[in-house]
Amino acid sequence: MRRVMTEQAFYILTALVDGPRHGYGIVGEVAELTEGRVDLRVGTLYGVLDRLVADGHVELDREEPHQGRLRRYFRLTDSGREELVAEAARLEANARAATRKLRASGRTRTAGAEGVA
Amino acid sequence: MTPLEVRYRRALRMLPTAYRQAWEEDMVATYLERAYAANPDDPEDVELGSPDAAELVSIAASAVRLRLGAAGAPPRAVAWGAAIRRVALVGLLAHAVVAVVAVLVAVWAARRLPGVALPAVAYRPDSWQTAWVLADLLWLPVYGCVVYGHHRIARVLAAILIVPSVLATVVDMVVAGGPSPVSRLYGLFFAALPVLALAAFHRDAPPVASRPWLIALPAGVVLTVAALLIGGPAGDRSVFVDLPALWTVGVVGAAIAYLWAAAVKGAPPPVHQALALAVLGVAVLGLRVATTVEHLAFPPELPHRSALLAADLVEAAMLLVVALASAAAAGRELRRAPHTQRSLA
Repeated sequence: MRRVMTEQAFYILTALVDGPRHGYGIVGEVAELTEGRVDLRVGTLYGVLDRLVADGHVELDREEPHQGRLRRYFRLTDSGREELVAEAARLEANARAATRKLRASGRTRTAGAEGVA
Repeated sequence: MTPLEVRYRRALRMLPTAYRQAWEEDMVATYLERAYAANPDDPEDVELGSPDAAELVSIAASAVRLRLGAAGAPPRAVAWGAAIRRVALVGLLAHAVVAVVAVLVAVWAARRLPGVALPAVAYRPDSWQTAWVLADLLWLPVYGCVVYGHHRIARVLAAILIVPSVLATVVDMVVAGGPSPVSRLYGLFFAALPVLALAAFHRDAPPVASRPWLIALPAGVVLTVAALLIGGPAGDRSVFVDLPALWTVGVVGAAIAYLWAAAVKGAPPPVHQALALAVLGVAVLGLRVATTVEHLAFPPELPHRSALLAADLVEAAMLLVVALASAAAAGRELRRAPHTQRSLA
């Protein structure tokens, strides 16, 4: 059975769509993508990355030296991209359904109000 | 290594070793980059800083999730996660059952049922005790919240409910000078155990199969009331029917059900059941031993004293057998489960 994707996993996968990133790069990209709404904690980031690596959605791309440390860059796998496409479609369908319903409800209310007037 | 890095590495020791081996260097690098980026004008001040509380909470939450896992986690973590969730459910069920039975007994004491002898535990509570008994009924919504997946509400409410027990223990030990502080402290730990075990109901935890756990509540109340009736009125056999004795019956009954299920299926039930039995067996054994220490302090002329101590020892022996056998069965299964470590190469 397909596991429900958490919001953090969704944004981490999205942050990797345009190329490999290291941990801090992912944190920054997620903050930018969500306009600061999602503040990804480092403990949470690596917990989710660990799961995404285990599921084969993310893999190590390369290691680069940076200020005396090795930075590891992660990239999206084909399976990760498929998973993200499926989740984005699901969220889009949800949003469409809600918007349709809200618009219909707005029209009904307007029509009712006009009828009374 | 800067003091900040040392502090981060110390905090990361909360995480399982295998996980740390895979991720520690990345995590430290990301923590430090984040810290320096937050205060680029004063790197020396950053180096002397400490991890913020939110990051520490995040690491602690990860440590719990990794050790008490759910589907997708390594098999051992999955087994421990399921076992501790079962311990939490059983413990909260017991709290809820005891709360309901306490109210029933109080009502029973106030409005004597014709032809039925009051159980020994029945008494007419004063207003303070009535408030206490009624407040304990809040264990029912805690249990319901866990069964229906409202874990956060359950955790908050359970933490509030355990506070009076903590205060009562402190007052008992410090002000009243209770006879056995170790016994009192262990009683408090035993009451708080399911509340602590609620940590296993994290965001990855699977939903609880609600039906059997909902049926267990009235069944538990009926069985407990039956046990009190068997205990009879005060001065008779009632002294034998205390909380550890009821728990012993429950744990031994669960062990028999486990063996019966294994015999019917021809294979051991899921490993988390044996693990949960081992944890509960050890916890109840501790409670039995703690209360036996109190019973040893009873005056020798007290009726049933020798029989009571003999019953305590028999119960302790049964619990020891259940705990050891369950731990051995769980250990066998867990040794077969692989240690999983993420390979990033």
